[in-house]
Amino acid sequence: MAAPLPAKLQAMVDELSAIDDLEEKYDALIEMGRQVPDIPAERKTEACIVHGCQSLVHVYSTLVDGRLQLRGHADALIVNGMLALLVLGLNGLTPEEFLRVDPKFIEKTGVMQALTPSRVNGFYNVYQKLKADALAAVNA
Amino acid sequence: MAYDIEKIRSDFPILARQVHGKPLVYLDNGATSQKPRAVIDALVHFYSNTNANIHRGAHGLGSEATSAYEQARGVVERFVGANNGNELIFTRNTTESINLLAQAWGRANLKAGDEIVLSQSEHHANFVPWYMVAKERGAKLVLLPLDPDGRIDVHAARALITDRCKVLAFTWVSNVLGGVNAVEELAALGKARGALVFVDAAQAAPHFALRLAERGVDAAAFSAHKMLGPTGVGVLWAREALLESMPPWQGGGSMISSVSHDRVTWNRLPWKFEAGTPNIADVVAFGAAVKYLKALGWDALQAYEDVLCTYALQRLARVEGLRLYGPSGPKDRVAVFSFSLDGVDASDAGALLDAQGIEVRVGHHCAQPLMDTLCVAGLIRASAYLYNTTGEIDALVAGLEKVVSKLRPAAASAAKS
Repeated sequence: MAAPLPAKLQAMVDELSAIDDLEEKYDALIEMGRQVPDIPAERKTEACIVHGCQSLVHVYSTLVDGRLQLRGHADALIVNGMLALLVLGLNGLTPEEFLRVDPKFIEKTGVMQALTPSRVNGFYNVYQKLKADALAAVNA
Repeated sequence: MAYDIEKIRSDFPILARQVHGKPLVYLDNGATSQKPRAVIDALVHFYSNTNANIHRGAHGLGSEATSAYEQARGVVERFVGANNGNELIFTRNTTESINLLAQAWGRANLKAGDEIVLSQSEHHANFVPWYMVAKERGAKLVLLPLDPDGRIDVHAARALITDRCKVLAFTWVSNVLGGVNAVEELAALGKARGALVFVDAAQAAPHFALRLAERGVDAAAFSAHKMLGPTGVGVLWAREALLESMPPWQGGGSMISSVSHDRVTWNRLPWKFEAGTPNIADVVAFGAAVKYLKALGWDALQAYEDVLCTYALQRLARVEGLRLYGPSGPKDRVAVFSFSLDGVDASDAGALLDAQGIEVRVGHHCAQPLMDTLCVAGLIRASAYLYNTTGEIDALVAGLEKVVSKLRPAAASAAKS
């Protein structure tokens, strides 16, 4: 059985999965995206770009006192909402805790069914980039 | 005959369905059209009653299937104004038709220093095949610029089409901008220089009479699926002398006349270019699609689409922050509308419209050179067809207004405060 999701992420997933109407679901997702603080212009470097996304997405993490501080920003609001699930929902975890989260949680939200495959891939690409950071921290 | 839109809509079963719990508003006809019952029935009827391989002549069923296939060819030929029975090749789609021409003709005729003249508004289907053969043969691509309305600039074309031009290949109607290019004028410029003139008619064939033999072009291509027919059928039309002069493209069954150990002779036209078992059932159903369009009549269809187009242009112009690319007036354009919304990501807009049941296309529309020319990453495209209504245009506009109110930056700052 998959490990339980961190409480913050679980709350966000529950909020989305409780909404049946797709329009309302997008509204909630966009609102989550608006809670993500933009990242400083000087941090929007090539190294932070998530490749394989249709829109411009930057994401990075830092390790503070053994916990991951996740930051990110997307030009498109729906992508920013999906990004919020990761950077707000998983913020402050230890790298080990991060690695125990199965990114398939996104399927429970019901937002992926309506999105194009390229956007679905975009989400997993963001996750993979953060995961690489977490792995590097674990192996450091 | 009056254009009975309700009757026409009832001929398309899919239009009655819902998407995400909302009535379907299908405005992605530039990508593919929906299919009337007559086309669906023709497919079912073929497989239920007539199915056999063709051009083998061994049995009665095969003869019936062969005549159904060849009759469909005749129906399409007459519909697009082809000269006779030897000029219309069935392919998989417009893309394959262009690859056939670019490779069979291009490899045999192009050499280093030759120019292949295209336009800045080509779909990748009329760009990449020429790019590939240009690389192979050392030829050069030249792109004709567009005028402010997004049509190919004929004045510039006059200067850019020179004696080095061996192929002039351009789109009749831009899949993004919707403008109808001056096909006869452009073709004359190419012919005056002795170039092969090809026109990509994929977005033209659904909307008006092609009358191919009268346009001064040597070849044209279009797809069944954008004009009510099934997917998997395209057409390459070319003048008989041109097709005769071209070597075959794909080899295999059907395209040969005789095969011995050391010598193969080609079948006559049009079968020289139809290697292997073709898409028999879909070609037959394409015939049914053309009959449906014919029964509606071009005059009635165009008059209706003009009304839709004029209405849509007026309504879209009033959406806050909407910037339309392509002709702003209804003249010489089809009902294809590409636009951006200030401060709104095109893919966000597409997703929010989809959630309202409104199906449009967003992105680069397989026309990246054009996106570069327009300096945009992507656009929202709504493309209407003969079964769309002014009510659906209203739904689109209402949907866009909702998108703008939710997504524009002002809405974001209001949400934060």
